[in-house]
Amino acid sequence: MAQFDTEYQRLEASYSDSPPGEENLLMHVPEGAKSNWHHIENLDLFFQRVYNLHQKNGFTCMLLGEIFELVQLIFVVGFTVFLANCVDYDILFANKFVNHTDSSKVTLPDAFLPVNVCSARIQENVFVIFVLIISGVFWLHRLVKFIYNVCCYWEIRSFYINALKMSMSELPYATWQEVQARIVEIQKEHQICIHKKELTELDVYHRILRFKNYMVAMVNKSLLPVRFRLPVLGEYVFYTRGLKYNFELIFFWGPGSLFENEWSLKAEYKRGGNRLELADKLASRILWIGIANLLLCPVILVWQILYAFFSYTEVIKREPGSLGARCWSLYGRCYLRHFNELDHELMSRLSKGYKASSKYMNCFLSPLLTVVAKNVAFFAGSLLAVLIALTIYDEDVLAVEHVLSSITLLGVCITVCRSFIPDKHMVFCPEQLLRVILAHIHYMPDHWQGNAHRYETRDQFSQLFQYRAVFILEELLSPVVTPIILIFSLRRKSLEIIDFFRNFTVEVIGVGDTCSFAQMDIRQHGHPAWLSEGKTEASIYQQAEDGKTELSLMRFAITNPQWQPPQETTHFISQLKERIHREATGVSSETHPLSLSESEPKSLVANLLAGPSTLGSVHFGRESYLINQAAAGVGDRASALRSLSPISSSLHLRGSLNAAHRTASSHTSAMNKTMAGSGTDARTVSSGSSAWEGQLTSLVLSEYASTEMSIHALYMHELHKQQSRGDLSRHTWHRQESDESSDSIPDEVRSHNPQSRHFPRSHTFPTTVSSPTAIPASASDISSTAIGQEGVPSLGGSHQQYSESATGTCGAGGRVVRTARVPMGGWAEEGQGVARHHGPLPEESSEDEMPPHIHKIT
Amino acid sequence: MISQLFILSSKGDHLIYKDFRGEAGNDVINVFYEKVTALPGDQPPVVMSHRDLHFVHVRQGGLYWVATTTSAGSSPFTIIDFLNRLAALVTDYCGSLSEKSVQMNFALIYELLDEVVDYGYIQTTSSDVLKNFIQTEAVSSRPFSLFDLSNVGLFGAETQQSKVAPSSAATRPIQSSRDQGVFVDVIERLSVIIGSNGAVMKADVEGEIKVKCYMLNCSEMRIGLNEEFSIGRSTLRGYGAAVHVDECRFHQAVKLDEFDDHRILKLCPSQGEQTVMQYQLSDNLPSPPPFRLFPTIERDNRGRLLIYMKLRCDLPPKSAAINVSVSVPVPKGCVSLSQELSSPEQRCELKPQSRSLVWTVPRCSGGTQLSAVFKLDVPGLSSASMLEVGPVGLTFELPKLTSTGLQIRFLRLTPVQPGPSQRWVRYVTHSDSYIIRV
Repeated sequence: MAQFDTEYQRLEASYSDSPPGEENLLMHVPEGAKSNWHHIENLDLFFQRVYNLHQKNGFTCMLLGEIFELVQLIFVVGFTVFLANCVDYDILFANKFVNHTDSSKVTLPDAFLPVNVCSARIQENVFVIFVLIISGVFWLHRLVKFIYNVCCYWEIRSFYINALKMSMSELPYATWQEVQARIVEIQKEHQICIHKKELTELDVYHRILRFKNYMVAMVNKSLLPVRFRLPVLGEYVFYTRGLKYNFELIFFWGPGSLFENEWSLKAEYKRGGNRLELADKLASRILWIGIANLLLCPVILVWQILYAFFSYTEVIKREPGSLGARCWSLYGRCYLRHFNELDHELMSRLSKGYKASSKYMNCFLSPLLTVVAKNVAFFAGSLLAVLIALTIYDEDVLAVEHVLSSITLLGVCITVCRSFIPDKHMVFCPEQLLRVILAHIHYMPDHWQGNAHRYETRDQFSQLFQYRAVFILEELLSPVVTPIILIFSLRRKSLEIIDFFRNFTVEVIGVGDTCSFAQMDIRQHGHPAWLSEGKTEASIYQQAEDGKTELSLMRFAITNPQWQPPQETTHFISQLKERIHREATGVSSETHPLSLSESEPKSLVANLLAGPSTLGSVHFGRESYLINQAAAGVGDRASALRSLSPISSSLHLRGSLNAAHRTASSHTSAMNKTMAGSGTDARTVSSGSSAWEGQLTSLVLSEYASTEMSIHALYMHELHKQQSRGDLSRHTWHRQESDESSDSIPDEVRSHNPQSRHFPRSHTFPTTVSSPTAIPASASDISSTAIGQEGVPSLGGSHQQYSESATGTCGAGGRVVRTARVPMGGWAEEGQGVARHHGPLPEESSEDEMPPHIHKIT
Repeated sequence: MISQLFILSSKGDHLIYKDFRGEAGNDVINVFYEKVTALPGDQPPVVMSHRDLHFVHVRQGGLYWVATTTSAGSSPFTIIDFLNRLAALVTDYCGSLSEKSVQMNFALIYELLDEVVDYGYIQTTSSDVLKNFIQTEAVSSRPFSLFDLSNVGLFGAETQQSKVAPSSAATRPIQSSRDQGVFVDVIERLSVIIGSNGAVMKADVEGEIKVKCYMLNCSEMRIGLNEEFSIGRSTLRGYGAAVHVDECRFHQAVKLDEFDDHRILKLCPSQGEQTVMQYQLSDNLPSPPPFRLFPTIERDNRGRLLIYMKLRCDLPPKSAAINVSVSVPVPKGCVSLSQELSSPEQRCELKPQSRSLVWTVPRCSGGTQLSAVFKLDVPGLSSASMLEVGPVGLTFELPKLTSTGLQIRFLRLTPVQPGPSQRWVRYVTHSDSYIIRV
């Protein structure tokens, strides 16, 4: 044993490695400085409550909301019963004559049955009694929960006030990022989590979203049975709240679930030894829950119907068109959700994409339906017109039986028909719309791009973005369908589920068992086709699909700039960011001749932003402009500038803000100066007092975060497309059957490329080329909407918010390099002006003329 | 049935000679040594015969351990095993195995042989039985104390030495009852072949857990391995800290009733060293191979052979490799060598007899990259001789690291030992054969 130089280490006994049976060791928790919040046992619940209270805008709002919900419940049940049993409809419809002595008017109280009759009717109706009992039990349950919640949230409230030092009144105006930063801060003094000295943002996210991450991962790996091939409807996604509730019940918190408590998976599920037994156990459990669902089906059905009736009839009455309005389906929310993305972040992202999405879906009106609708609308409209004209002539027409109701009906009919008739001024540009959608929803199967105009794509997209009416219908059907799915579909997957939980659960110190995908470790779960080539070691089973790991990582790093990711991850992020910057600023060909990007298209970002698929209109505009212009290079440069200045400047602004924010507050004055020279957004920063500066900076950052993420998402998709073009990857929509439509991708893309090649190279962007250290802080909008506006003229309500932006470049030494007017919108004249202003044109370098074959290699 | 037994030093000196049955004369020792040295190569056959006498020998600690037997009926494997076991016994009793220690402890070894073999028949090799009969104290070449002066901090302050013990701590005779302790070694041998294009062509790990026990009154020992330890070739590997091996073997004294559920090995340790568990893993290492080499071979205008080497250590940044030596085969007729190394503690020498140059690096921490330039004067360098620069072999030792990730979670002794715990563990990965093709 002496042949090694290695020293022996003393094997210390620590509490975590005590074998079973010998673990009755006590943990000594030192008395903290009289704080109530050290060593919180169930941190998951605690953080969830902290988050909920924040989302519900403080204690009072939440309390009121819950009280009203309880009252509403009583009202729903009571009113239904009343309507069903205590109203004499004959009197109301005047089928029965009421003998009043004084007047012939029928009053509302006349229509009500007397109390004793009413109660007798209720008592003899078994069904009503049944409904009442069920609702009573349900209500009591809600009441108990409410009282319990009030006690819990009172504690959370005092946590906010005493520990986080935030009053309830300012809570609605504080971002979650701020709250989270304070939590991370106070961990140092209060020691909320005992296992760790310091909390990270990721820990908080992990705890709040532990189960959601699992669900996202399971949907991502197509483990949950939510897609079905129905005989008539074809492929169909069925995922309702009831089903989701049951899944959660089975996996996470129901009796006998896989989890021991909120934060740890049961020990036997972590080992592979008896997976078959465990799968059997799970299968039988699913069976029982399915049967229970089946038995409770009438109860749930009644509840769903009641709830739906009262939540939606009012909406339908008010605006019938709203049924045609769409919403993001529950499945879509799971599919589009990043790992570690909180509800409000997801919602804001999806809401931003809503407009474009509904526009996109509206592109696909069936011409047949349009013809029918136009004619129906014509007939209904003429009838309505006549009726209205008659009414105007003599209002007694209204008194004729059913005239009022037919007017209403015809109105509804016309409104419905109108929704099937496309807007005359609308332009069919699905590819651009899809690009805008992608900028917000961040996920999209590969074969959609280039196939946006196809009906298959639209159908698949409609799985994510369904009609609200379908949503309601599915919810109503759910009590019947859920047990069937559970019993016949989910039960078969029990072994896979057991394997999933075993393979993808990782214990993180200070967090507990969490889904390993949520760690966003490129090495463990990266997908080689998504930029993590060479960095990932994951097998196909371990790779997250659709680049979820990579995109989630980017998103998390961008929204939480304070987060310090592990080494490799940092490397990945910085590499990607650098790449985008480089391509946005175009210094790649000069300064990095040997870097990675050599084998790739040079100005991907330019391609992406100004490419034919996004900015078709601009493209054409530019061409016509070229004809007018004698100097072709000027035009090129102008449009390069136009397309890139918002992006790169916002990137730069954010980057510089970030850096300054991190380094020290001593730099704030310098930054302030920089800001003062910049445009509108920055002015809000500089106008604040110095005490607020840090906070404001973070606010500004978080507002830019979504923009930056949009750019990154687009960029990553673009890069992915280029990478995976050669080999048609296994990635198809949901990886079930290969989609025929995906075959056409390569040609489509290849046909785009030659066009994109003579697109302006971004390194002609003057300000950044001339002084890379300077901060081109320009007033820029959320530039993705700028993309959208440029590409789709009718998309944004606000049109071109900035016509100019001053680019103040104040270095540390205070040297002002130049102040330029950078056009933001799309006015070629201004662009030309800038080009002239910057003197001699940088010659298009030879590297720019990329030989075409490079595109094909990638 | 063993006729004679003798131990020879590598130079042929007679260290121990014992004749059990008187069937052959004293001169067979010289016969054996001539036979062994006459053969070319390093690995003479284990069993050789001379007239009607069969020699069975093993080499341990640089010594020849030879048994002779006359009867054809005795199993050679029994004898080989016995010889190995005897060498282990001597190691246990003398502390370490070397020519010097055998010379100094000849009395003890004769006493051992008396107990172990009787008239050529093997009696016992269990140290538990033997400890009742062996009375001679081992003579240690160097008085060893775990807590000598260097280990004691000023005013009893906690020093680093209370956390670590030198590797020599485990090399002491088992009879010395002064310090009790248990030493656990987790040793893994890496054999890796990396192709010239950088692809890992083969990566195997053979590992073993050895326990060296100096406890007098210890009835049961429980060794906890990683909970996520999995055995067998399953396609679904666990994620994260899971440790995976293809197969493993256990010492026969190990009780495995808690192994399935809690990954605990239970054994009744006898004094001395035991290999508790052996395991192996092939082609599926959880971590990348520790070293990568990027060689460039050129010929400069003065007819010299230039070899640029870039050695990248892919270990995690906190670990380091020690005693790294890179051996590069060089063309025949290489006369002299000049080198440029990146730090003074590295050295490089040309070994003409083995036609290789050896570059030694005492320490190379993870994530670093070392580079070196070697200029070789080769008279009559032709392009064919450049092809003689063959596959590069690496030897190294990775302290505190197991390439499979196996860890000892805990080690518990029953009855519970009073006083400070004397449980030590050492993780080593070393290279068995680490070949990088050029």
